[in-house]
Amino acid sequence: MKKLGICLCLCIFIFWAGRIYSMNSVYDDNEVIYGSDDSIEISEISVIQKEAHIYSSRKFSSLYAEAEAMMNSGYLPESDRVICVCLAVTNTSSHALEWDEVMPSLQCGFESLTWGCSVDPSITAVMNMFYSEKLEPGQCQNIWFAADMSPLSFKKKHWNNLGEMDMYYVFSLSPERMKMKLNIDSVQME
Amino acid sequence: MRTLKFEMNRAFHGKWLYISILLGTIIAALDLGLFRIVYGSDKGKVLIQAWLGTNYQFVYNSLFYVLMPLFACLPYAGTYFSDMDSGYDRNICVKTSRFSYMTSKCVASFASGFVAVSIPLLLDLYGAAGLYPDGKPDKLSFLTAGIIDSYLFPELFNGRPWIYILLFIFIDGMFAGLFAVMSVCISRWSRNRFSAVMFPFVVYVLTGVVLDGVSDGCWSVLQMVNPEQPSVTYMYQMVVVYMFTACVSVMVTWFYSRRRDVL
Repeated sequence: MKKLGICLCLCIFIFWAGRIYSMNSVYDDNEVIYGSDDSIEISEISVIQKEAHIYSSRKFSSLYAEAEAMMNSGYLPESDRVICVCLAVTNTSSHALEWDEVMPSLQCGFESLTWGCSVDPSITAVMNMFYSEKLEPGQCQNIWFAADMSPLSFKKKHWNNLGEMDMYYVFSLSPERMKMKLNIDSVQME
Repeated sequence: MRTLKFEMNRAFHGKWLYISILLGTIIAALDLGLFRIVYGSDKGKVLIQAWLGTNYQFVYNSLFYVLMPLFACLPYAGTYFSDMDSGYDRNICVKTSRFSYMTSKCVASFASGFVAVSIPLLLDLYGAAGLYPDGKPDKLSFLTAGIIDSYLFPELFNGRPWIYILLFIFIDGMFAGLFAVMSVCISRWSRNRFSAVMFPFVVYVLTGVVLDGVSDGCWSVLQMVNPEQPSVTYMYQMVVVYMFTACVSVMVTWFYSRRRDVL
């Protein structure tokens, strides 16, 4: 009886091991990683990375006047940093696209191997200037996306060397996880 | 060596070890079952979301980790009190030294605690691995435990989740063994077996509540053994807490057993 029980357990163990193997061998994480110089086609728009930066809050507020109010209100603490990317977005379709269609298709978040943060709409709004109601066919517009980085989210040694970390901008999570490596030149503190 | 073999044999053939493993496994099975009922075979779900240790969505994670010292001490740690109470230890110490007996008791208690906690976690891992693939957690979906850069082992959590899981099963097993040794240590001052088994649990829960968030990092064992990492814990804190508790428990046990030998 005991031997039968052991034999049964062994059979279940082997069956389950086979199931684990087959499940993981067919698994596809659906992730597409683009290089920083790649041109990406998303529905009816084409996207190219123009520049990417990590600014200290003070540096960021010196570049954008509205950001100072954010700092004063505590929305953007002085100890934090801002990661941002500028994308050159071109309408490749034959009809004009509403900004309400364009922005959600590009706006997701930033991540590294050990950190992730969704795009902050308030900081993003400070950085962008739109000159037309719609994105006309063939028109190219630079769009910034930004997020806040808190020192609490990082180990001190990593926080002091953020420029050495591989950072990505994520466009979408499903059906395909599309992300682009950011070409961050340096961490600008002053 | 013969004493150790004897104590290990007692520890691993006692019914309480099996009861302890069964209770832990029931909690793990309920967690995995509920996860399966809620999410089914959702293709977006991965192993690290379904495993008990990092599944923060249901109550079973908290339940398992709050009860962890009980699972660890239940199998064998209380037997030192029973041995003293019945005079069994005196009979043993006729044939071997008290030091050898106490060392064997501590090692057997440690091993039984380690096994009682790690087996349910391993079984849950094995069960979950057959239902969900070992994919990387998606940080931006915010549906996984938030192990980011400032936490322990973020590279493993995000890059090699199954190694992260195995590492935490090992850490939990080590702490479970420590709880069992603590229970052996406190047996001298216990009035019954129940209080000897309950002591590590009470200390664990009390320090868990009191020490949570009192300073930078976390000194609460209740928080640091949980792979979900509810609070940021630094590696040195984990090592200091472990070494301090282990040294105090072993020294008190050694000192007491020496005095008892003289008496």
